[in-house]
Amino acid sequence: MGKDAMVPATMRVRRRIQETADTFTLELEPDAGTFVFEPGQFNQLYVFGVGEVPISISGDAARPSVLVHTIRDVGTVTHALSKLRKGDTVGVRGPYGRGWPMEEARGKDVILAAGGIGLAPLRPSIRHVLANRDDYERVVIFYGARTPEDMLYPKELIKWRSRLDAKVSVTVDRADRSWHGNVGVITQLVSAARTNPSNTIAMVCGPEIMMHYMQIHLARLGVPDEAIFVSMERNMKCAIGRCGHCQYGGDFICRDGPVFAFSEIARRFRVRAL
Amino acid sequence: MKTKTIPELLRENEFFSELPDDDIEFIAGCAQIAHFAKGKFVMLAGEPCTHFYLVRTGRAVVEVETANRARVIHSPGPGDLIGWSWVLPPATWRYDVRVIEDISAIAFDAECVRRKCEEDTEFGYHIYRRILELVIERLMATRIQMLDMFA
Repeated sequence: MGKDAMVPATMRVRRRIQETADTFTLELEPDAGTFVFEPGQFNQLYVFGVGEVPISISGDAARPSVLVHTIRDVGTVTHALSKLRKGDTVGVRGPYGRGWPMEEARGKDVILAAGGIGLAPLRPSIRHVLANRDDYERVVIFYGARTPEDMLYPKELIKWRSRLDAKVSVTVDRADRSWHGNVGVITQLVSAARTNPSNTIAMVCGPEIMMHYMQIHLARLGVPDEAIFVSMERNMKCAIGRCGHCQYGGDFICRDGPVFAFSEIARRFRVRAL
Repeated sequence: MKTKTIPELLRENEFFSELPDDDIEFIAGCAQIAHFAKGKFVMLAGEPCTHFYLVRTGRAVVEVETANRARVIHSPGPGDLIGWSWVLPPATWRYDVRVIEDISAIAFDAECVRRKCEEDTEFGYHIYRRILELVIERLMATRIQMLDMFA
């Protein structure tokens, strides 16, 4: 990051991957050769002449020579990002925010639950846990998507599923007969977690409504709110806790989050208009 | 390895785990082991509910046929109970359930269990309460599915 936190570094697009109909991945070449981040942190991506958006880092923290973002084409800036091709430049500010509790999870059972594009911010922590498998006890990965066609990183999911030292369950909300996997909401997978609830850390990322129901189901299993971590999303602008656009009660999501223990935000969570 | 008896298998399942031993023994008397091969139908919409099932291994899909297109709405697997339409008249299945992985299940004679529920209201209360919990869980899941939260 440059001296002025508001001035982006420029990076070149190394590769662009179309993940699903509306979601793509950009691999960027860090200007300094490496880009160090913690799983769960985000960057501000700037398309010059268009605008800036906060995007979670979805690559491998152990491979800092490439900076990866998976982005859904839903607005003006993300649409402009979708038009970038190999060799194009993009502005990058970051990394920002508090990431997933990887240290706290060491020596514990770990539940990693993602819904939809929520798999992108969680992927760095999944890769970290699987790469450092001996540091963790039981590892359970849940992923829910809208349809089989909307699933992110299908090849990587197959790779994860082939491991004997992690339980990986995938479900879709709806499917036709060509799909042979689970159909149903992600919360229905939770009862099969079989973790020790008093020694479990759960990391949950997806739409708030999904995280809301996941918390209910995890609590039913006995996992305390202090051990359930969620990644929140608000209208991040400055990303350094100054502009106030992402204020969430007494916290700024960009600075104090985006990852929070559920116990920290339980009283604010799902409060209308907050 | 010792083969587990049906009462032992029932005690391991959340649905039956709170039933007293006598009731477990009774309901086990209404049950037998059943197998369904991949591609077969466990039940078809409109057919009478003669049996309901507790899946031990394998997986099925609950399907609805709309405009000549089958849509999958749920995929019960190990530990799941398939079928609750047997509890109330007209006791006919509402959906098709097709096997996608060979299934080994405990099949319950619906008439046998229903009769016992009517004769022994305490037993019936336990069973209907568990069925209600199951229905509520499915209703919640269906509502979440309807939210299309990943759209």
